[in-house]
Amino acid sequence: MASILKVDAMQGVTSAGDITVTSEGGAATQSLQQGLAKAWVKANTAAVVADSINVSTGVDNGTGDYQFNLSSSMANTEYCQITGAIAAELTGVKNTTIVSSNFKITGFKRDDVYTARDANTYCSIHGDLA
Amino acid sequence: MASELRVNTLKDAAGNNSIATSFVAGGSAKHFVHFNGTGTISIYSGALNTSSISDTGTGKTTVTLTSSLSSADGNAIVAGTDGNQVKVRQSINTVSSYDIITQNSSGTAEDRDDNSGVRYGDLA
Repeated sequence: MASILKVDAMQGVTSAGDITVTSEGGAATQSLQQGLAKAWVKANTAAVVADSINVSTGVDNGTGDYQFNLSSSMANTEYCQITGAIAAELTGVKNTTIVSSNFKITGFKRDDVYTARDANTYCSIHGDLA
Repeated sequence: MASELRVNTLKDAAGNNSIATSFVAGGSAKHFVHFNGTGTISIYSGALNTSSISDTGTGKTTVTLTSSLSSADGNAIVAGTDGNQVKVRQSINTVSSYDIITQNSSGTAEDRDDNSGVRYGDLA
């Protein structure tokens, strides 16, 4: 029977921050909260955010140098950050200077040296929220 | 008291922002890890469904999952944080493990200190 649950907030019973879900194959269980991306963003070459979750602002710090501020901070600075970029001639993108309240992305190309390069960027964050 | 709720669709209390629970489950990461691949390799705080990481060669780390995926097609997305790191890639994808390869700017295998991996797909 199809069902719809209307609710604004969900919490675990035993632990508010832990709701267990059963795997698709039924062989395992996993924390719902842990599997959710805590932030993601897609932004243009000027750090203007096209779409996002838990990102308050994007800041263009210079050529290929972007900062995205989180609405809700992470619990630590060791979270998992996956970053990518779209730009012709772009040969690399890296995450830099991880702090709990924002994350940074640097785009660059390589000739004989690494040269900063503007790019459309995207990123997702996994880990614990504060 | 522990409880189990079976439901097909979630909405906010106003009846908006509908999402099928299949999207909640399918859209959730089934694994993530952030680790230091230099010296005695180690996982930074916080990882999901990660049994172990093993140093399997210069610039090569094998990540093993606690609960396997239902197929090897569960994509592994990897990235690096390190300066001057131009190549980070994933290889040898199985239901229970995958390798992360890191190279320096010359394309030579090299251990790096900030590496991340995420896998999506169905758990077994």
